[in-house]
Amino acid sequence: MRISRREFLAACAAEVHIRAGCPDGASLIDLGSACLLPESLAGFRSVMFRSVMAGNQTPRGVGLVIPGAGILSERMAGTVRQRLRSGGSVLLESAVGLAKRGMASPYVPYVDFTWPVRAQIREFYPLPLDPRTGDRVIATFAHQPVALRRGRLILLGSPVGSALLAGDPDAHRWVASVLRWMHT
Amino acid sequence: MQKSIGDNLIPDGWSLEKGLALIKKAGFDGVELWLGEKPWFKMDTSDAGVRELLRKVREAGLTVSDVANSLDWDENLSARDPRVQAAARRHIERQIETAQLLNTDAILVVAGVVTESVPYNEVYRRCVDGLRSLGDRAAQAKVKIGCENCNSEQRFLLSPREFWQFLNEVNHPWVGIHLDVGNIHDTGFAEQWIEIQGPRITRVHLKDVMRHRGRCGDQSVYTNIFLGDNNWPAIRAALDKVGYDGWVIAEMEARYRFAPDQQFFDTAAAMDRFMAGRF
Repeated sequence: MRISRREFLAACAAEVHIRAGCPDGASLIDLGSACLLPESLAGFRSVMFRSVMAGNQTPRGVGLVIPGAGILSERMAGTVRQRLRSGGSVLLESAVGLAKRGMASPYVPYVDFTWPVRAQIREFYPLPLDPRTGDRVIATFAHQPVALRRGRLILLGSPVGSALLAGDPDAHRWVASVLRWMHT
Repeated sequence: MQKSIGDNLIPDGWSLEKGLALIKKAGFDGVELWLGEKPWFKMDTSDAGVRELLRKVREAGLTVSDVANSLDWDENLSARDPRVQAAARRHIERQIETAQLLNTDAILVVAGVVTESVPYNEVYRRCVDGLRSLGDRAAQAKVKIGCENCNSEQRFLLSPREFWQFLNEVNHPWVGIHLDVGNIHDTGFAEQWIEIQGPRITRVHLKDVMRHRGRCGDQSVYTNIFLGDNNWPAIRAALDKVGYDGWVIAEMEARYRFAPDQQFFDTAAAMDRFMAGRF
């Protein structure tokens, strides 16, 4: 995947911004035992390390990033709704696919993201999603939608945190771009 | 992406001109020239002879994708005997020189051969040292050295992380990997090698592999593209992912008992499908 100098510098700038954990940045939510994929949380933590909040704290900033989610508690679902109503953004990563492992044939291991930047990120037991009217499919795997955008909500059916931990440049670029979008 | 094939597949007894005409007719864009393999390209081929070689390649409507060699198996950088090491260095330097003459920017070497009597740790150290100094020579010539992953045959650098670490230690911008997607056998997955090596890939060799067959006598594990166990859609996607858009080069074993020219046409057709991502 090619990256222009402008994109690279922008990604670096975003990275610095994220690492600095500025007060109005996105909060990374640690769901604790409700996080089905701690590895993904660790991946996001590696790029948002000063912004981690426990699920029972009141998150700050304009965006929420919730990795490895299974079924959200009422309280967390309420936090998500409230954040969206107030104009904030949420990246909700579902790890439910872990329980539904299947292998596409032929197997091409990448999820193709088309938004906010094009990226190919290794699949992680993707959960096919069912878009509603008005949703924008932003990633597919084996021709099935596995990530979509619903207004300011991003639903991610294939966790990307592990790819962050593995050092995948596409994953870093995609997450940096999403975090930048959360500020817009 | 452009496709090429080695001149080592030209049937024995054929002239270079006849072989190049076949390569062109089959639809290839270029040819990989193997130093030491065929009578037209040996260590004693003069500069004038190499220029003549280039003229014939151009006359056939082709370009030279890279310069490989078939000498590393007998004269390797990792040899214990300093005279053999020096010979290895000489033929690699000659590859660099001829690459310049042939108007290409990459060579292929097999760095390191582990044997029962030449152990891994010695091989590793000699290769790192040897490639560092050859890298300087390559930088002057603006020719990239691609170390091929001949995993099983070399018994060296058997995993993609290990190869990555090796190149980290060589730490030279003109030394990378000439990645062969057929050489990984049952020890891994070519697409994962591609992802890990990424921008260090200088060229890509294509062939297919049958993972469940051992290399025993004449029973090769290698076969034509799409006939083996490689996951070609995944390999194609991985090349896209890392932004590789350079030469893909068929490195086939001559498998056709009859009509050997047909292997060129079949290979070119398979490579077209591969490059277009039509599976």
